[in-house]
Amino acid sequence: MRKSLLAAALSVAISTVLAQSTEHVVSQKGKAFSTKVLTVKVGDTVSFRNDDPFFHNIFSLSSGNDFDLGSYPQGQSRKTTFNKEGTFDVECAIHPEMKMVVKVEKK
Amino acid sequence: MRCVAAALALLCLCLPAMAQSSAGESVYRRYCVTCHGEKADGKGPAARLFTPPPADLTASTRSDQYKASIIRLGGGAVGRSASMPPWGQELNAKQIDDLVDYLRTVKATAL
Repeated sequence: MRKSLLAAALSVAISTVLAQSTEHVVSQKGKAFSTKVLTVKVGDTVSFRNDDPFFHNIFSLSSGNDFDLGSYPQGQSRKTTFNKEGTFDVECAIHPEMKMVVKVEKK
Repeated sequence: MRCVAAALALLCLCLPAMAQSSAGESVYRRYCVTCHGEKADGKGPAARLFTPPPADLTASTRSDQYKASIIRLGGGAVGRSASMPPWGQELNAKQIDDLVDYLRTVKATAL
């Protein structure tokens, strides 16, 4: 009885670890993203941190995963979770030259 | 000959205003068109992301001063949608003035 309980608990623990999503941090500094391409797994979260002394914004018009996280000042972050596979463009509305791609792969 | 001179004089008078509109249009096309659209009617490609939707600038009855404020400070600062970013750190005073001038012409064109 004790053995099967232990096995069940272990199984749940392993599943939890495997199912855990990761949080990635992308910095916005010097009117640029810290990376041009970020590869993540389905369910992962990406946090966009404003490291510039002025406002930034985050949005995506990519089909199937469009979003707007609004505008925010230095020191603040906005995050979003990517729940679909695909390649998604992410931009800053305030600085049109700021563009990056998030590639979301199967878990 | 007098007519040609008069036409040239008129052109000289109009050129600064035309250049100003053109500068404002450049600012609009670079920073505003994604939300407010090519026709400034609030139907840009990103409009679907926002509730309430971006303002139809061709129908705006707001003063130039109000427009300059909302551009500089953002929507949230004047009690409107916080989706409108504050542009005061990105655009200088002249760019904002040029943009407001351009918005006046857009409104006139739409009417």
